[in-house]
Amino acid sequence: MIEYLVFAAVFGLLLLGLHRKVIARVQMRPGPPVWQEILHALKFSFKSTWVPKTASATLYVGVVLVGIGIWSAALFIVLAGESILILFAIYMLHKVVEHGFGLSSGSPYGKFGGVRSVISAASEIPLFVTVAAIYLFTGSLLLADITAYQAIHGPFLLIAPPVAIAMYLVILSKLPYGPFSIVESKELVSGYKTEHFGVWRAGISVIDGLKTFVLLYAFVAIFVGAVPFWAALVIMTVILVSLSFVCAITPMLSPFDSVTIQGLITGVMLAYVGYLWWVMP
Amino acid sequence: MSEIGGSDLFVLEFGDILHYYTPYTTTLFVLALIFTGLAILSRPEGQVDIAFGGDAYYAKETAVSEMRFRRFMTIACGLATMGAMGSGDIFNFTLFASLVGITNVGIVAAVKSRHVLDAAYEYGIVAMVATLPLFGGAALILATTGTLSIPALAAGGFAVPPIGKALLALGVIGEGMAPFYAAKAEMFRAPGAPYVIMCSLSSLLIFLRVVEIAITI
Amino acid sequence: MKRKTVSLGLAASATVIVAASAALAASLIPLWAAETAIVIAFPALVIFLGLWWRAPGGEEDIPFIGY
Repeated sequence: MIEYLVFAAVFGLLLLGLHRKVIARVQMRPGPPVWQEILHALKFSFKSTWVPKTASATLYVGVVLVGIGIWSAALFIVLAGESILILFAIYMLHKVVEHGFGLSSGSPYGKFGGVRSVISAASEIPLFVTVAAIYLFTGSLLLADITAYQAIHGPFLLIAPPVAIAMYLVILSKLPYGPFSIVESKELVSGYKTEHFGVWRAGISVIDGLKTFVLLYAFVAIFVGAVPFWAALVIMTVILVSLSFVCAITPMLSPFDSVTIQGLITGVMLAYVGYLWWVMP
Repeated sequence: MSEIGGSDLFVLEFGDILHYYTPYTTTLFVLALIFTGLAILSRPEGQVDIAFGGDAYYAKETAVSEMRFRRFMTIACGLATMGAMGSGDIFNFTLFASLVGITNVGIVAAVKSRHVLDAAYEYGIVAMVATLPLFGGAALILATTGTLSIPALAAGGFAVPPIGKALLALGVIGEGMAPFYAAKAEMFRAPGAPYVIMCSLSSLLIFLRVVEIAITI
Repeated sequence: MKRKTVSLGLAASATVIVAASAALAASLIPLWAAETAIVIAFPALVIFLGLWWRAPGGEEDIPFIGY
């Protein structure tokens, strides 16, 4: 069990390192080594650590634990083929964790990161639309049933491509250098992560690694179906590289533009699901 | 009953009104419990603000009396959320959801900041208006099917009107989800992170629960 | 935190994870129970491991503070 968690965290961090490398090469920079994010996590864990004087100490430490806990739970849920509604819930609760990171320290940068994570709420609705559309096809939200459905009818990527695009955008809005990454925007230093240093920041690295792995693995399970584990890892890497190209060539949007575009995407997706609901028997 | 959030783990019956917990609602319940616990245990942070155009900064303090009132409201909000998570009756769910709206205003009501109070007032109006579709949806479901018990409706044999479900969902969305979030986001500028987080968490959790209810019935 | 406290926390969380994995392997507890135990213990393990590496043992050099 623990080996899955450690593997997922390390592989997720490796993917994030690859993400940075690909972005850098697209932008004609050398870029950091691929294992940079793993080194970061280790480096932060060796730094001296305390709790800032202005922080709300229990919450400041508590959100790190809650963050690692919810994504560990998400990994087990995806591996066990449980309900994707729980995955949806965890994705939304990640926002509360970001919010907790930002507000608990009392720093203005963290606070603005937290407030921005609240206004980026529109990014969650495409995920909900994904869940609803899949329910229309399968009549079940258990991941095991979804993969069983795909074994008969072929991958969802071909059955309902707009839904796959919605989920793709959901993953894009959680990547650190994407057009919708307003919570970690550089004018806010590091956004909600600013005041968590040392071991707490190493904890955030673990959260990021697990989150990347879980979201990409869930994408493969929901839209490609049951594939051998090594093939899932290869497909995840391919998806991540494609996301890196998107991140490399798009500017980071301002908060209001980001919310507007996510809102428009949500509207289109809702219309698509309404259409599906209308034509489905 | 269709398997949306997994099979029932535990059912608590009060006559025909019951509370039930699936893996999904249990997850949500535990998270509400964790954050209520954090609100009880932690002290508010000293929020630091920068004065633009210079190096000056100032820290805000939260007075003890203010902290006590807000902590009380946070615990009430946490309890209302936990109630909404397990409720197996749509009427009880709507009551808990509107209680969440009221306590959310309460959480920031004691903050001495004009900006935050304005936002809380606007949010209060939105939440109040949203209770109309919330109770209206429940009333429509009751009028067409004659029952509001979620397990009974899920067992089948009732034609639950989609408009009833949609109104119910709209009512919960009005308590603080995406398009109506605008009024609420400004409330989060208030100091007192452990309490303010509950505003965010509670509306997320009741939304996640209403998704499950709308699909189940 | 003192090195002793951190070591105890690290040992406790590691014990929970090892015990849960062992009990699962011996099929003494169901899968969900093992997963719950690990979900609770793993965050503590990560944090305590980081704190343990840097925890003061009481035998550090006294920094040079000037003549």
